[in-house]
Amino acid sequence: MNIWIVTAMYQDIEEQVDVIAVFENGVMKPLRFRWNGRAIKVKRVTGTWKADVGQSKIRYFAVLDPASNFFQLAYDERNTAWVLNKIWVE
Amino acid sequence: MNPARKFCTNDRGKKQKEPGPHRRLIMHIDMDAFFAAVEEAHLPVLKGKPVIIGGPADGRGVVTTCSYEARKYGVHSAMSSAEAIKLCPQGIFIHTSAYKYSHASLEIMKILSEFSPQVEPFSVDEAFLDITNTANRYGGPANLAMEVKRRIWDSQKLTASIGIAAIRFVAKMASGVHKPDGLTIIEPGREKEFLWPQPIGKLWGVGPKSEVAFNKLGIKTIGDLANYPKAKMKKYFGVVGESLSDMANGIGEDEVRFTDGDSDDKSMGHEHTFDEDVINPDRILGMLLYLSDKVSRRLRMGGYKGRTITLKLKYSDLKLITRARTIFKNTDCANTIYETARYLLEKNRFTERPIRLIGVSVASLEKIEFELQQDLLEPPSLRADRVDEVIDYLRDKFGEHSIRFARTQLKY
Repeated sequence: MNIWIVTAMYQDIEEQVDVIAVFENGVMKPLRFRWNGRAIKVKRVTGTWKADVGQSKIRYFAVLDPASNFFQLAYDERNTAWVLNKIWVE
Repeated sequence: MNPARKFCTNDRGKKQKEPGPHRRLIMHIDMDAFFAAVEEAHLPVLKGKPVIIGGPADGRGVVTTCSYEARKYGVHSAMSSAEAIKLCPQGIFIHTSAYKYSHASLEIMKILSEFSPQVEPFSVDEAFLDITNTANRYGGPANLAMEVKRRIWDSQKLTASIGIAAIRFVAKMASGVHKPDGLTIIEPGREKEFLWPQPIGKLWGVGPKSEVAFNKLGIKTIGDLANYPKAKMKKYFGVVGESLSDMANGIGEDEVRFTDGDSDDKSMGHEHTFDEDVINPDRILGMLLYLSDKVSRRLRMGGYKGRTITLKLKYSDLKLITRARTIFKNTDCANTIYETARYLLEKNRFTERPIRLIGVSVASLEKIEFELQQDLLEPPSLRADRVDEVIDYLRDKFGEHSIRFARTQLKY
């Protein structure tokens, strides 16, 4: 019997997205991105980190939209491409 | 009442007594529920909820850490995820994300280095600082500690608990007195007042088994140990007993083992919990090779070699066994690590019972800046080393999963 009831979790998306980003004091910051036909404004970047995947360096951004919905964006420096990795669903 | 409260300073901004002329000031900083706190900082909706970080909730994963809300339900690190679910079915399970936490850790270590040139990262979420010569710049140790907390909060939205004392292990114990977001200062010379009323199990280095052994001798508190004849301690527990006796009397190191930029790793290891208990030796050896390869890769990436190889096993009854072997020459070679761990496994007949978890680690590490010379007794071309070189090249170029030893891919 599975007693685990998932009420909230990260959901993998892994879709390439178009992102408008700026460099602020030398730090990259996503401002808006388009996903599922919607333009989503980034209200706050709550976390950043990096990872090496083969020869690619990936910069991750944990961001919130104005409604506090969570998205995890990833920028692949080698391929100069943005991917929406995950969202938070409840 | 907490025995430490009457003489520890926990009031923010209160003027601090200066340290004695020959005493050092050691600060220990311990991030509060670090991994869970990083997740909460990234995803604020998690705040106030029982967050459990670890392996798969529907498999045989293990809890790495959890938020204080989850701890109220009895969840703790190293517990199986299945057990955590039973205790806290409303818990929010999140997979461990090493890159995320190590990035936050590096940012915190950078902040700490602004407060002292002598910083010793003790683990991903702990560090010692020697603040003897820098505390006065901030108006005393309490003010410095509060500034450290403020900087970490502003940068990472994380809280830390801090202990300050003249002795390293006392600072470490002090940081655990008021959690989370605590600050405890043990004034130099008052270590015994802090230590003696505490249960013996609270002394750094005394685990559950030692605690039982001490209790059998009538030693219930750290004070009891301090007043127990040191010669008897040495007789019963060897050098460890002697050292613990000193600690109980407030005697300990006052040095911070810092390095200039390079992390001073004590050991590197990997472990795996099987989806089901395993008795098939081929499957166990396949996993052992996989883990040895991962450790070997990390050693080479960090520029380390080590001599002591430890095998760790946990059986289905959760009984934990470790065996170590120190080899003649330090190594970062996957095959050497694997063969040594395999020797330990087979010599001790550890595969005769179903195994739940297996792990391998390498300790006695040395930083290898460059190879001084080839060992004259060895052939110039070491085949296993060459294999590792090629593997490194391919992984650097195509990713960590681009190549593996065939044996690690076998399914039985």
